Amino acid sequence: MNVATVSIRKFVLSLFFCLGAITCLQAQEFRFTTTVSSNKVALDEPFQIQFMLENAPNVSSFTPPAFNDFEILQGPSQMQGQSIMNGRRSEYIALIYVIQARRVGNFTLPGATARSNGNVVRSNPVTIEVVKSGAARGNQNQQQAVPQGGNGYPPSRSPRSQSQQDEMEGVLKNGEDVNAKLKKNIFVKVDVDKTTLYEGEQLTATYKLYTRLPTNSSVTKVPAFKGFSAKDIELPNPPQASDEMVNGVRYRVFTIRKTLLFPLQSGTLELDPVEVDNHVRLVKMVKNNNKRARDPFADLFNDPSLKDPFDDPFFDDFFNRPEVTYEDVPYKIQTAPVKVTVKPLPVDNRPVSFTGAVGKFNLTATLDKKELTTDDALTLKVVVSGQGNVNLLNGPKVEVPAGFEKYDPKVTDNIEKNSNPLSGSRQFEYVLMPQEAGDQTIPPVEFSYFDVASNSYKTVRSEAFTVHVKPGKQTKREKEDFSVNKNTITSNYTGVLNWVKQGGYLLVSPLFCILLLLPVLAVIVAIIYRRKKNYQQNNAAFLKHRYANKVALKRLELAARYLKEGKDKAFYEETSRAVWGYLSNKLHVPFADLSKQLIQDRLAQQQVSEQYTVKLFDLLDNCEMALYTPMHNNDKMQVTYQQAVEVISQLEDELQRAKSVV
Amino acid sequence: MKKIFSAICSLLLLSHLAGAASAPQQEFEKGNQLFNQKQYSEAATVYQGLIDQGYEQPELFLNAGNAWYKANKTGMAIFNYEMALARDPFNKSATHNLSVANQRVEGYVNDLPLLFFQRWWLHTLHFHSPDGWATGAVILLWLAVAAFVTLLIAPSFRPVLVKWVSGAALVLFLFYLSMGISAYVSANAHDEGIIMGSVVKVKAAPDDESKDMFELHEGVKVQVTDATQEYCKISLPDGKTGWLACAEIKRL
Repeated sequence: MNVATVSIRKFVLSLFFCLGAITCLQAQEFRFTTTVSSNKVALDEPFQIQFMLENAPNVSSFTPPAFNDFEILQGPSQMQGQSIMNGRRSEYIALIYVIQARRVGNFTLPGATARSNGNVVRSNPVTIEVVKSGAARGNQNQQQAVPQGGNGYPPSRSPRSQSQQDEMEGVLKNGEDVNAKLKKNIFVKVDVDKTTLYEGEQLTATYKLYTRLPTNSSVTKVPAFKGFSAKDIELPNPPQASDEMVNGVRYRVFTIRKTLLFPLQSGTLELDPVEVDNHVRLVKMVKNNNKRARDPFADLFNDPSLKDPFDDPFFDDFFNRPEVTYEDVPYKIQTAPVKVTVKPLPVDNRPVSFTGAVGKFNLTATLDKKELTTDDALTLKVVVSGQGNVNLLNGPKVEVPAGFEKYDPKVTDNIEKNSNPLSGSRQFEYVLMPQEAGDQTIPPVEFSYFDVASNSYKTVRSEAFTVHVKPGKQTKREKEDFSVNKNTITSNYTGVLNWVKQGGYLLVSPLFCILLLLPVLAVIVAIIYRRKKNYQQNNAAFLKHRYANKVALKRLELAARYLKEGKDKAFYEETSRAVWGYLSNKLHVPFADLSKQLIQDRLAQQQVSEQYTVKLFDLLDNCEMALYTPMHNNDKMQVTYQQAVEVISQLEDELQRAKSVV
Repeated sequence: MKKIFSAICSLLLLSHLAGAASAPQQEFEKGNQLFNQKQYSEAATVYQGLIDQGYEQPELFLNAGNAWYKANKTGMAIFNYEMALARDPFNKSATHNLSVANQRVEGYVNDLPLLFFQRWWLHTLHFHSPDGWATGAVILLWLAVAAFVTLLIAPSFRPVLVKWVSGAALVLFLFYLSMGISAYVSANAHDEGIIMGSVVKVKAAPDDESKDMFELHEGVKVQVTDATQEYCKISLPDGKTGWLACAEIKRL
C-alpha cells in the first residue's frame, strides 16, 4: 500500500515576494523572544532553541548566549519573513539552533543580545530541565511551533496552510535518533467497536496506519482472525487519508483494513496483529560546509543559492541552508494485539429452530406451484434477509411431510457490498419430490435468531402451504419393477393369499391336550385288556379243573351219601357205576359196551396220559375187590371216594385239554 | 365427473372380483391398488387393518412394509419386514427390502450373519408352522399308539414290524413335540423391538432424572432384556445397553 508522502509546506514563501511591500507598511511593536521546543528534555535528546526578533529595525549584530552546558548540533539556521495581519505588517527574523544537553540538571539560558538601531536588546532567558535519557520519552518535544525555513522534501503536494509541525517531521536533524523518531511518528493501531459481545454478533475491526512522515508502506502480514468469520469491507484504492488528532498531535491516518468479524466461539479471542513494512523517506541535514559565517546575518546577504537558483529544484533552498540528503529508512511496525471477550448465547428460551443467526432478520417463503403430479418437482424458496451474520446463516429447518422426498437446499447469497452492519439476504431453495398423491400440507417454515438489541430470541415463520398432488404417469415406477437394485425395494406381492387367520396356537389349545391324552387312554385300555386276557389264559386250567371236580362230585353225590351212611356195598357199587357212567358219557361209548380194554384204547386215542389210565383202573379194581370181599372199613371207603373224585377230575381235565388241542 | 365415473367403474370391477375373491383378498387388492396410485399412507392403513384383523401372511407384512417405506415411516417399514421374516425367515423380498430400509436408519448396526448351524436350526424350525409341528406330533403319537395297541391286542400280528413302527413313531413324536414347543416359543417371543420415535434418548437407569447415555434413531432393532412398568432395558448388537421408555419400542 502506498502512503502518499506528506507534503511539507513552506511558511516562508519567498523573501523576495515580500520585500517590495515592506516599506509601505508601518512598523509594529518590537519584540525579542527566546523559545525552546521543550522545557524538559532528555540527556541525549536534541532540541531546538529559537531566538526571534520581531519588527526589529536595522539589526546590525546578534550574539547568542553562551551554550555552556549544551552542545550545538546544528545551526544557526535563519529564517526571515513578514506577515500582514489586519492591515498591519510585521517582520521577523528568527535564528534557530539545535542543541543537546551535556549534563543532567536545571539550566537557565540567558537571552541572546542583538543590536537594533544602535540599541542593545536582550531576549528573555529560558530554563531547561535536563533529565536522564528515557525519562522524557513520550513527551512531545515539539510543543512549540517554530517556523523554520529551508527544509523540505520533494513529494510535496499542494501547499496548505496548516501547522508546520507535519513538515518538520520529515527532517532528520543532526544527532536525532532515527528509531525514536520513527517510533514517535509512525504507528499502526486496531480499532474495535466493542470488546464484549455475543457469539455471532458483529464486531468491526479497523486497522489504521498513523503517520507524520512520508512513507511507502506495505502490509506484510494480514491477520488470520482465528475463531472469527471475517468479511472485509472494500477500501478505496488508492487509499484516502484523513487527519486525526492524537494527544494533540495531528496525524495522517490511512485505513489499512476494515473487517466485519463474527465470533464463531465463545471465550477470549485475540485479534492478530497486522504487520506493516514502511520505507520512510527522511531528509537528512548535513552540516553546512560553508563554515565561514558564524554570523547568520552574513549568510543572509551572502546566499549561496543565489549563484544558481534554478539548479536547485527546491524552491526553498534560497538561503545558506545546511545541505540535505534523502534517506529511505525501512521500518517494521505491528499493532498491539487486541483481546475481545465473546459471551456464549443464552441457553434459556432458545427455540428449537435456532441455528445460530444473530442480528435482525425477516423470512419469506414461497412455493412455486400449488398443484402437481408425482412426476413433478416442487420448489420451496425461503429467503432470510436482514442485518447480522447473513454470511453464516444456516437454512431454516423445513419439516416436510412424509409424502415428500427432500433434497439439500441450493443456497444463494445476496449480501450488500460494504454494508456495515452486514446486511443482505440468503436464499434457500428446497426441491421437494412428491412421492404420494393426495392433499399435502407443508407446515410453516420457522426461523429463529438472537436479537442483541433486546437480548432475546425471536422467531419468524411463514404460513403453511397446501399442495394438491395428483398421481403421475408412473413411468419411473415401471422401470423400477424390472430392475431391482440395491437401493430400491422390491415390488409388492399381488397374488392371491391363503387367508387363514392365525388363531390360538394348536400347541396350547385344549384340543392338543385331548388329542395327546386320547391315545394314552387307548394304550391304558389296551393294557387293561391285555392283562385281563393274560390272567384268563393263565387260570383256564384251574377253572376247568374246578368244573371237572364239580362233575365228579355230582356223579359221586349218591356214593357220598352211602359213605356217610356207612353202606359199604352200596357205596362201592355206586362209585363203580358213577365212574363207568362218566366214562360212558365222556367217551361216547354205550354203557353195555364198556370194557377196560376199550376204555384204555379210547383214552390212549384221546392222548390221555398213561398214569391217569392206571389210576382209573386201580380205582375200578378197588371197587370190584371191595364188592366181592366185604370188609367194613370206613377209612378205606373214604380213600376210595377221594380216589374216585381225583380220577374223575383228572380225566375231565385231560379230556377237556385233549379236546381243546384237537 | 370423469373421476366419479372411473371410481364407479373401479368399484364395479372390484365388486365383480369380490364374487370370486374373499373379503380379505379384496381388501388386500385394494391396498395394492392404492399403492400403485402412490397413496402409500392409505395403502399402509389398509394393510395394517388386515394385520390388525389377525392375518399374518408374510406377503401381507411385506406389502405393508413397502407401503410404510414409501410413506417414509421407516420404523413401521422395518417392523413389518421383521414380522414377515419372523414368519418366513428365508423370504428374499423381505430380506432385501429390510436391508434397503435399514440404509435409512441412522446408526444402524449390522446384525452378525448367522452361523451354519443357526441357519440349519432356523431352516428346521420353519420346516413346518408351529401348528404343523403340533399336528404332526399328534399324528405320530396316534400312529405310535395304534402300533402299540396292535401289539397288545394281537401279539401274533407281525410283531417285529409293528414294534419298529411304534418305536420310530414315538421318537418322531418326541422330535415333533419339542420342535413344536420351540416354534411356539420363538413365535411368541417378544424380546426384540423396533425403535419408533425419531430420536430416542437412552438413559443409564429406568427413571427420568438419570443421564442420557446415547441416542437411538427410528428403525433401530433392539433386544429387550428387562422391563419395568414404563422403562425397558435394551441391548444392541454392539453390546451397548440402556433404558428407554417402552412406548418408544414396538415389540416384534
